[in-house]
Amino acid sequence: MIDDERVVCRPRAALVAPRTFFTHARFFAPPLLVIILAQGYPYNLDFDYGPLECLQKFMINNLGDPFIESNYGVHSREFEIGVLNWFAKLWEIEREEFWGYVTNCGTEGNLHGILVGRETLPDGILYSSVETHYSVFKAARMYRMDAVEIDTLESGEMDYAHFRAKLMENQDRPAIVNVNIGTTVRGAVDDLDKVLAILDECGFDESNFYIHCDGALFGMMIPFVKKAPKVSFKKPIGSVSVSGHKFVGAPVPCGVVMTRLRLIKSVSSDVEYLNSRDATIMGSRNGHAPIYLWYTLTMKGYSGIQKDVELCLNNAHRLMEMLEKAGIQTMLNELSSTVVFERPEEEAFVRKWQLACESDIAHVVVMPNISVEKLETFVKELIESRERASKKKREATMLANGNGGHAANGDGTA
Amino acid sequence: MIEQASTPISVPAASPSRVDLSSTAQLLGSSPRDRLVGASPRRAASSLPRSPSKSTFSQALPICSAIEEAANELDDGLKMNDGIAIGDELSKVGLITHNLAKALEITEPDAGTKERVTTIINAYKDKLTSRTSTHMVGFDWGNQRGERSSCASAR
Repeated sequence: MIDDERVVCRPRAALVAPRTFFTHARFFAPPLLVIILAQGYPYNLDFDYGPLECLQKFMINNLGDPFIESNYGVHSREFEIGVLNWFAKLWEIEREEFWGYVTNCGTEGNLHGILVGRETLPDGILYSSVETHYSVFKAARMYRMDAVEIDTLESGEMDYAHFRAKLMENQDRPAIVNVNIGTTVRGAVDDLDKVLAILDECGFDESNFYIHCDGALFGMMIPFVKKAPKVSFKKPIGSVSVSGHKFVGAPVPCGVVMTRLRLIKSVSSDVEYLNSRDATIMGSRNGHAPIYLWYTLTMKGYSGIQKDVELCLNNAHRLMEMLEKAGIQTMLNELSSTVVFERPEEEAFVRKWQLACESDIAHVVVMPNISVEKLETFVKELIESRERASKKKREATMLANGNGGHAANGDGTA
Repeated sequence: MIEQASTPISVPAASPSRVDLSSTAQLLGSSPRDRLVGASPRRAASSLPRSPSKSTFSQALPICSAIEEAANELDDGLKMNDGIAIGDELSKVGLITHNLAKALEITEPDAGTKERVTTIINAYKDKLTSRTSTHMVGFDWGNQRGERSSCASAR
């Protein structure tokens, strides 16, 4: 059903990425520049949880396993499992075959997915692209795993030739692969099918590889985009994680991680104190978060989320067009709502739009709460800011030349 | 003990942020861990059978009638033994199952969704209120949207 309803993308947006600009930008580490339009990061601020305010006075804690009720009675497991069932349908796995939980954030989902991978294949090497979210390599450090960074293509997607070469170098050891379903900065999506094909070509089978899909933001969007590589447990993947506070939107950070029931046994142990099973990264777990997610997913359903996805992709394309029209170098990955562009020079502008900056590129993640009007205001102010910065630069050059610009005009070297 | 502590405690120069607890203990005449024995219900309980029962929790606590009473109440209120039985069964199976999991199913929204959600939230609130009746904690964050909370008023 979801297949039929998936969004048909507008005509492919060209990757407007002048080689010099973006190739240069990629060499800056860690990830470049993060600018997210209006009010910070890729968070959907378009929510109203007013009807849930009556629950504020409860300390709701889903400590332990979502499927095994603890002695602590003030929990929201019924909601949590409802949410998990919704995601199970989205990622195509039978209820009897999955295990998962509502996490405190995307990082926890990655930590969990990679832990399951490591416990399944203790001698495995972790492979992930250089544009991967920092939490993935943090997991490698925490679990003392050997890790290999894979180069990326200009789009930010994994360099498959490099991945193949690295796999061939380590054929004698299992592979634990993190597949990015939207990188942090450029929103690039690694091609899961291509990764699986390369593993097969290099002689790896399901007994010696494990795939974790880091869906952070786009893991919620991709299932609704027709041309996107499908993230599905019908494929031999081990786990998927997404953030809940990003695309769905919530007043607290949260996320979802899902894996196969048969795999979770390796990281589980009974805990007498909890009277539940310990299979999660955190012990105490926010019981409000599943209720927020349940509420939004119930009110919107697949159809509502699909509409949001369509809106974001369309608005991202619209933003790209506006920026291009203004002569600002821009890039937009086809499957993404992350618009990458040149870093604004004015600090005041950066502060006003709550931009986190690094190196010489910026990005805007177009979320459901970002209206066209807001985009227009942003672009208008960005243009004005660039003009001011440019004027300042010209004046500084003239001053440096010592004669208010006459020399510059005179000898033609300015 | 305070007098003894005035004796300088040597801290290895290589790790300035770490206090050598064993040398501290020597100065104090016993290891820090030893001095904790007796104050820790968990430690005292370690010699007891692993499966907690109504009496286990109470026995593990220091002698204090008020706490003991509260512990009994807690044991009764939460039916700890029933829970353990479920846990034991699951251990035998070796895998968790969904049979025990109640889920609030998410369906596609329709005209009745808003009402259904309101009913569920109200019922859930009542359930939590009932479940907190045996709690030994209590707080009120007030109306987060408009009125000043009791916390803010106190200032």
